[in-house]
Amino acid sequence: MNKLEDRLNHAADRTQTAISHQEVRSSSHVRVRHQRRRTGLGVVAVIGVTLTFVVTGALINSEAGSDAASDVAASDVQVADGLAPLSDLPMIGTSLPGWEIGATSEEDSADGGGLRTALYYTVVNDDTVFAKLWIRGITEGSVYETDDRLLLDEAGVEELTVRGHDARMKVDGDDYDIVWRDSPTVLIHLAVNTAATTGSGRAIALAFADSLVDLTPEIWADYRRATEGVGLADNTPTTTFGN
Amino acid sequence: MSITREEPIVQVSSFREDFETFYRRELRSVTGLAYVLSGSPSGADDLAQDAFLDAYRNWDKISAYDSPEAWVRRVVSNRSVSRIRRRTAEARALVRLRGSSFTVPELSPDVLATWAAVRKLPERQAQVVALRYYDGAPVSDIAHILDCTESTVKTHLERARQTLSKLLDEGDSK
Repeated sequence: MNKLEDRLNHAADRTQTAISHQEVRSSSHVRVRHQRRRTGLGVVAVIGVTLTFVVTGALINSEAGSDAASDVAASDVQVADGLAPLSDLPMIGTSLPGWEIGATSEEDSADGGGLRTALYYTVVNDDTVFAKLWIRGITEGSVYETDDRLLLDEAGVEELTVRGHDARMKVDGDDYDIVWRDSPTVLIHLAVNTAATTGSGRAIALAFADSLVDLTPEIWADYRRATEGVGLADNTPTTTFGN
Repeated sequence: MSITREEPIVQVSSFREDFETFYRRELRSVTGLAYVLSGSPSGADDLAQDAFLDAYRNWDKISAYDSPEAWVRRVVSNRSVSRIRRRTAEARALVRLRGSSFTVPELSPDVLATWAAVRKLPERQAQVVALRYYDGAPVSDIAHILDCTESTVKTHLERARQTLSKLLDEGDSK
């Protein structure tokens, strides 16, 4: 563990030293940097092309359906350029060429009372976190309920249906947050960042949700295993996750 | 050896400082924190500017807090994980208004790899690690910033260390 401490301290030291020597730029410099960043966005658009391929299959299939609740099975969603099927994304321990999938659990307790637990899946490509999916149990009436149910009450939230599941989506720039849940104490949240993509960020985010939503029972089972014994037994959904 | 802040973040303000002083003092540190958590130099700039913009809009209220420094770090921490946000027109206006901005310099591959591993952690664990190691904040300050108990912070730190050891060992062996 000392090796880890040393490495983190080294990284912090180097980062802080570099930052301490960095010039605080005047506004004229800022304008120049903006022009350069546009060029940088062109570079990351290459990644975007890949991600566009990733969701093309899902888009075609979902648009062919009568509404947002398409009949396309998650396993039908294939990706190009050697990447694995999107349907594999939530599986713990799955090796996906081109993707790095992290799955881990965490617990949180607040000074104001309450407990929440989560099982996290992180989709990383080229050191950029493209999406995070988490299933979270929360103590009803706790401060976390207010946090996690924000999407239910917040302005600018769109009500929609993803494969027959009622869902809510909030858009903030390139960030798409999509929540679907079947219990007051269970939350399933998908956050997709489409900053490095081309095409419609909305379509990409919805295609991602579409490919994942039917796997909810599996990730719920994973969540129960990962958070077993932490005191949130009452979080069992009151309704099924299926249609 | 990491640089640990000599004075704790959480302190009772005996006076209300002006926003300009607050902004100039905290800009580097907050932008660095945003970089560690977002992984994007330009995105970190945007995140920091967005947070300072929110502070600027509500400065009458926020300057009365015990720790405006903790508030702006909480905002950046909550928005940073998995997010790379483009600069808004309003944030650009803030840069013009304040007349300065800041960008994260290029870092060595080993440093980049370390922070990349941190970003693969669940959001709370990543936030705790960034605040502890990058920002040098003690557990009590981290609990205040993230509005959770100290025992929760310790739990996240322990779990994060376990996961990070595996992630970094795997990265070294590639």
